[in-house]
Amino acid sequence: MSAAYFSYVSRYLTGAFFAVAAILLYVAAYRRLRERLTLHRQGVDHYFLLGEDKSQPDGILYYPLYFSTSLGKARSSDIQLKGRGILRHHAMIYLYKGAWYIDNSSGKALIKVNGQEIKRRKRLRHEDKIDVGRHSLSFFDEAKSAQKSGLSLRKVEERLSLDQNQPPSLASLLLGLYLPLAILQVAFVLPSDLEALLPGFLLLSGLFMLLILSSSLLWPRIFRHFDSMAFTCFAFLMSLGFVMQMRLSLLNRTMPDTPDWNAEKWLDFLSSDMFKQALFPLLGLGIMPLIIVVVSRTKLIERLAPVCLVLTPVLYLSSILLGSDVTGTGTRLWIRLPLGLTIQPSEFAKITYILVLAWTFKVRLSFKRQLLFLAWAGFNFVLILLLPDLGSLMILLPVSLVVFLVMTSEYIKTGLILLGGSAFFFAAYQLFPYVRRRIYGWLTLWTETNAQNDQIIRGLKAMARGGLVGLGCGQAEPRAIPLASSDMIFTFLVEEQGLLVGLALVVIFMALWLRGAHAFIVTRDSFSAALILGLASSFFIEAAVVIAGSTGLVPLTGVTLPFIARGGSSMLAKYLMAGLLLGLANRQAEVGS
Amino acid sequence: MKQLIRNLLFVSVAFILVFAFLLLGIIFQQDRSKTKLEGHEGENKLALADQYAKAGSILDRQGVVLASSHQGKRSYAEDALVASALVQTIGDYSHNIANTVEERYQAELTGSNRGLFKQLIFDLQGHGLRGSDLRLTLDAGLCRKAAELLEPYKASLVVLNYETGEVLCLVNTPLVPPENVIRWENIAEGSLFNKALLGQYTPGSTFKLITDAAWISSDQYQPDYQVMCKGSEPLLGPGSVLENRQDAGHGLVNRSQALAASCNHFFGQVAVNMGAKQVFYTAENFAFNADLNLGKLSVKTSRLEMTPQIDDYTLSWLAIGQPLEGQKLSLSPLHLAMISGAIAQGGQMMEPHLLAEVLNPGAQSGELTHPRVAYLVGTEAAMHTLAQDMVYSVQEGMAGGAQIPGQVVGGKTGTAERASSKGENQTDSLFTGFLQNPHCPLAIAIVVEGQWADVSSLAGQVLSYALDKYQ
Repeated sequence: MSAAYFSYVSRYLTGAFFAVAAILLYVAAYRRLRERLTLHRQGVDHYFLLGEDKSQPDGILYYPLYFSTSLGKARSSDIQLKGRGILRHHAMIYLYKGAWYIDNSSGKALIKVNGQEIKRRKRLRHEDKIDVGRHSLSFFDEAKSAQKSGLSLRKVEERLSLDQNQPPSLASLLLGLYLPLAILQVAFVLPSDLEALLPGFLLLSGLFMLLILSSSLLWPRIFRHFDSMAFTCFAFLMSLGFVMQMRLSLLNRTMPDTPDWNAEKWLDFLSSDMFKQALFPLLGLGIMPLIIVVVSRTKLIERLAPVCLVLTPVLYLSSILLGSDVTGTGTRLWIRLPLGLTIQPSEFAKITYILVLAWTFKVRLSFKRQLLFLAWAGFNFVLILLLPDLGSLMILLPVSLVVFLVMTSEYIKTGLILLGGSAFFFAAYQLFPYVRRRIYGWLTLWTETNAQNDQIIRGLKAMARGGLVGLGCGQAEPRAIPLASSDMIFTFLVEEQGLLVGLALVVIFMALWLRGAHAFIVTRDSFSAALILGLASSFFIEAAVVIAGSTGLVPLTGVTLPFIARGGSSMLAKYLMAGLLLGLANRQAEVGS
Repeated sequence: MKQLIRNLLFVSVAFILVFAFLLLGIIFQQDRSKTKLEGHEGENKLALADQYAKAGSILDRQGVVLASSHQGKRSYAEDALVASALVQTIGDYSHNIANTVEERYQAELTGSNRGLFKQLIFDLQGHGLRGSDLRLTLDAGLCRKAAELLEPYKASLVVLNYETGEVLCLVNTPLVPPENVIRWENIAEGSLFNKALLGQYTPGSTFKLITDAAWISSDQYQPDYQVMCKGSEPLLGPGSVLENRQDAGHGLVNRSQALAASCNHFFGQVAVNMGAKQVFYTAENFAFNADLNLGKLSVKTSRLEMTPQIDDYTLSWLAIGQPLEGQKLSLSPLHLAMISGAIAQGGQMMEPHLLAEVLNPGAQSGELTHPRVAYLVGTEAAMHTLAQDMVYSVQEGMAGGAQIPGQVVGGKTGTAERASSKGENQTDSLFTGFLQNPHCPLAIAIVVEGQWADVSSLAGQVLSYALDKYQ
């Protein structure tokens, strides 16, 4: 059996490794989230508020406390209190690093603790008396009470039967098997005239593999609450993306048939391209620990958030004014830099936008402030449309809705915004010819081939050729699909790696979101929670939009598949977001200590 | 907190729904693409070249290579004339010609239609990268002979085994080399069109076979029925273009004589006697207005459309294969051959097929195509009578050029007037017939466009060649 044939046949193994790992990660993420949800829907054991209620037999009313408990007049409050002077969202009581606090976040509520009025935050201790309007409540710490009586209580964390952050060990093992095998598959199909590139390829791939595998081993030991499961999800995505881009850089490329090209120049060109594609993942992995440290240990992100109010539109404006259409797709998203480099500011603008979103909705805003945010967001959306970059809109709008809904419980307003969004898209359809063309191409996908759907049809044909296990590394022809390395990477991936890997990819993105939801629950503050939710949702929604678009389920937009599609700025931005998410997840509340 | 959890759960449900939609949607789209987009036009040439670089071979019935892949390149028959003669049928890997073996059997040739388990077995055996070979029913030598004879014309020729439905020869001229098709240069006008399958020709006097069959099967039929043909009877209209040229007409003719002489008056008269319905009914028995196909290759449906209140005059013209305004009558050369074949086979019109066998990589034999009766065109007795008329037509009549000494050959010639694309009147020459030989039971059809040609003689030469080869 030749090396090339081994590469071909081993696709069954890599596909199986990837698929099994995806299922394991998803099941584990789901179970842990469910367990965490169950825990957090119940009160925190041994902590509660006691109030007077003459209607009760013993005259005492018992309120369970959750990891964060809202008090107020609103029906959505965890403890609903009525009476004069009670605001809709009056106060918040939460557990942070083993201590309980009461927070007067609006600053306007009248709250007294032990007779003293508090304007911001105050730590609560056993038997502290809290006055909220005419309600008088006592904070009861059963552990302290038991201690006084010489008893001890079971820690909260013992109620969790599963290790919350560790991935299934089989998944980690499969990562260790998948990545080297996938790299070897590419190495084995390298044609003989490109053998000179093999050492460079192996070096870059080896470095990548070293960074990934060492990170998965070291970071859990360095960061106390490191979400290894989320990192394993990221690692699979990054590995798949790295291998795919290396393969696309090296194989099935034709030297231009002009006198100024020769074999040597061609090799140099391929080598340079290979290096460029490897650079951003390596850079991303290199700076990720730094980001995790900064995010989990400092408040730099919180301080950056207000700056991003201005930075976000500036990034979009810079694209509009200075951008050029590098790929020939009609979008001016790239700014040319010296040395032939380009940067795509809109990719980083997604991050700054989500930062502002989280910073804005970390507290419940007044309607007036919500409108201000809406105006700001709307302004950015108009800039996005002018680029034009419909894809970014299709990501940021749902992400905004998700964060808004979860953090504010404003279901009606969310529904109205959805309706407004639909009207907006309808207007975009009427006003922008490129939107109409995209929709037309999608609607005629199965009845005719035209310039608007030719790309998707070729992608679908490629998917059909791939079947369940794919054609094998190097066996598909990327030049058959326009933008195979970027917009249509998913269909090319299915062609070479098979439907199984394609579906597993979707499962991993879902597992990643579930981990984001888990981190949302356990994180210490609402800004972190909102930002985690925004980032996790962004990953999933972006993947969903590009996969659905490239497979003809929805009209195609120019969005890149996170970690998989070619792109310097987009790749780097995704690694930054991954670092952010992991850093925020590391800010978990420590409970029961 | 509870509210936050509740909100998160609500959003989770939405995400899980999107997740499920994606999973199911991807599976559905892949499955749909396999059937709806296979062989879709507009493929990228590089992609196709890459796919066909490992594709299986296309062989003729005796294993002569008609297309193969070697060292990453696709090439066609070594014999340039054979390659050119069959390009409209075999096709090219770039799919510049549609409705060809290369295009329609792409899944088999590239192996993309294999199930997972089958593919796994091939992969483990070391054949996984190779597609399946296709052995066709075509005879490369016979096609070569046909191409040589037809080269001076714009023509189409079909030969099939009427007992099995195997198509032995499918040649169209003008010829064009496959390389020219792939490079898309130096392509003669009309050379890419598979006239044998997709051509729609006015049958002319060959349609008298249908009228004859209808007459024999009708209630009004009288075996001794005769007509006094004077060539200028009013029934056919004075000055009509198809009026018999002989001033005296054919005289008193019976059925056999009429077919041999191709007497318009006789067949016009019997059509009027039996009525339009009988003609239409018989034509439909002979697969007019029916779906025809050649395996995965499409064949144009032959058409007979009559206006509901057709008058006798119009019917008489239709019966002799020359429709007047408002009527439609057309067929393909393949169908024309099938008609003769059905007559020779006692009324059984066999389903034509081009694919003899699909050979999996490493296999000596594979999935065979089995003969199947497509239509029953008439009773055995009626077809026997008609067959005898056709034999008489070759022995004594206008189709004499097809005669092969010592062999039973039946046939019918025809000429058809039509308007060309430039609006000029043109005459097509047609022939359909059969060779009744136990080793070589063949049906043949030839159409020469735009000129008179001794088509029966051409047919005779082709049948002789086949006879020499297979007897």
